Amino acid sequence: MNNLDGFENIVKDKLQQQQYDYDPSQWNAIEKRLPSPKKGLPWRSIAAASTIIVASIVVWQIQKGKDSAKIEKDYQIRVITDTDAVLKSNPIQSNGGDQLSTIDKKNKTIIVEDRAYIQPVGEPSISNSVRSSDGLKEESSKIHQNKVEKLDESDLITENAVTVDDDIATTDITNVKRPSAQFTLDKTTICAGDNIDFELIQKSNNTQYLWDFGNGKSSSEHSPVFRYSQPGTYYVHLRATSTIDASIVNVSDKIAINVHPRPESNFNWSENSMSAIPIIQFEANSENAIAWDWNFDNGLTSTEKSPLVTFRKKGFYKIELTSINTEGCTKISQQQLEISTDYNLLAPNSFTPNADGINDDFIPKALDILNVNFEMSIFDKRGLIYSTKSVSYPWTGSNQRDGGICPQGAYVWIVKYKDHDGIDQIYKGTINLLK
Amino acid sequence: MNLTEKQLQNTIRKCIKKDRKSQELLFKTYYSKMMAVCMRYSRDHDTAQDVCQTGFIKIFEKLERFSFGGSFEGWMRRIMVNTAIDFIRKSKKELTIIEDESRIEDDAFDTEEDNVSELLGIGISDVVEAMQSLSPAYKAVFNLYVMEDMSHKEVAETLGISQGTSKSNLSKAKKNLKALLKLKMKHNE
Repeated sequence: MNNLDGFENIVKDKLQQQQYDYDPSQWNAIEKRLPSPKKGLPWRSIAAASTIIVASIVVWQIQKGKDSAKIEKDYQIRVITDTDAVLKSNPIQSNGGDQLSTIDKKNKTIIVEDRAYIQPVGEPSISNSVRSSDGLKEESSKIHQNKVEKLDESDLITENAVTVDDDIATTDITNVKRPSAQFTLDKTTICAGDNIDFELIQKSNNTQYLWDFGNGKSSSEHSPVFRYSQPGTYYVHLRATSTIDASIVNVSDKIAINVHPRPESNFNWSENSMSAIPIIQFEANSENAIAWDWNFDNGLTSTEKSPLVTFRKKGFYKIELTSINTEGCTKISQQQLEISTDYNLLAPNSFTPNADGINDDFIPKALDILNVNFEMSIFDKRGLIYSTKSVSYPWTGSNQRDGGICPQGAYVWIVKYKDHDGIDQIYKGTINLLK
Repeated sequence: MNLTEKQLQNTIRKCIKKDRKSQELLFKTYYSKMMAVCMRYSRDHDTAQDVCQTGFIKIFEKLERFSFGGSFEGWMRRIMVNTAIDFIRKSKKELTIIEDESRIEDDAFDTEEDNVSELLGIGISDVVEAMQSLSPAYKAVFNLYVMEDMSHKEVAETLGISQGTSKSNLSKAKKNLKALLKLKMKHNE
């Protein structure tokens, strides 16, 4: 347990009392991002009825796979990715699965794939040509091509089979389990240069994973983090291959990743030399930005395009501008600004209240120029001795507390006012009263 | 809304089976508490909602791995906190920055007594707002140390910073927070 001090305890206590009313729209947003439930969808019965067909197709695939693993892999890819394409145009989808289409389009975080158990069967029963090597490759792939087309017709069925409990498919059990290629990703819309976390849902043993990020880059990690640096749309998929039997492959759907461009972010500044008050005018010049977020490194921030800022202390400031475009993408730029003199309302540090007409009273000069409603207070060691709200009533060395005249010495002044943006400004300094 | 221990266990089991109604119930039950966590790590309400959604999705995904031994709420909160820190980390690589300048000109308060008891009366939403306006590096350290009760060693490990940075960021976070809260008190007067 940390030993918290009084302040920390107050903050902790306050923060722990936070309460938020339930917001059903938040649940809707989450629901869209959750994986589809395994059971209870209306098209389950159709799916169950057609599983047997699927199972037989799968067995057929494996028989061929044993002979010609390489071709088989390509073939499998086509089966699954094509599934995706067919699904989107198949009329059955529109009646059969309102829910299906919702899942398919909106729930991009989870990819569904075929998880049927399959058993490689010993004797190849199809196409002698597959057995031979290079010479006949062309011919054999042609045959596969035909088969692929045939398969397209039953593609929807293949997809549906996913939701069925494994019991039907497993009647014929199985020594090699098809590895899962399901994965999640944390977002599908990003800004150029952002990372996406891809995460395998279920890691299978003896499996080689290959991620295709859709831009020529790939990875064999289980759960890679990938950075897209160029804007565009990329289609990602994952291929899981069994290392025991390379013909046992699973490929995920392709998921579109939208990478938005970032805005430019440039700015410059100028000092208004006409005014005695040092005001810096900043100007964002990032054309394709629609919003700006400034940090002036002096405790002030702004969201204007051309903010005006006063710096009180001389020194170097790290000015940071975040530009935001219509896609919500941001870009940050930084420049260093040097302020060469302190600014404290242009207040002098001493005055001589001796009625000689020179420096007889005290008021920070800037208050004259600023034209704001202010309050100036003067303190000695025991507390407040003078206060005024008008430049016409500067401090002349009198003591309002006891009605007397203040002796020579150092006094503290504090000026508070609201600036034109309604923000409280507080300045403080020391004034020497000289006799 | 509160669930009895038995209802909770039941709900969790159904959630593992991806039962939508139970997921919704779980979400409803913990929304307020989790949102409170997300708010203090985020810069605004929208970001907090984003963090909260992502956190809940992770919770549902990882639910199978929850062992009924420990506190369920504590387990959820850890996931939320990690999600929030991931968000900070992704949005800006700022967690390690030690800012050398105090963000607030607090000279003006020197003459006033540094008494925190006046802050007892401040509104909860003011504290949340002040918390949100802290820089990400300060916010993360303050939250982990004060709210999650982590030691500086744990904070440092969680954020990938040194213990020294953790300590100095905590004290600067407090300084800024204090100044912000006092300003807010003044506004409200």
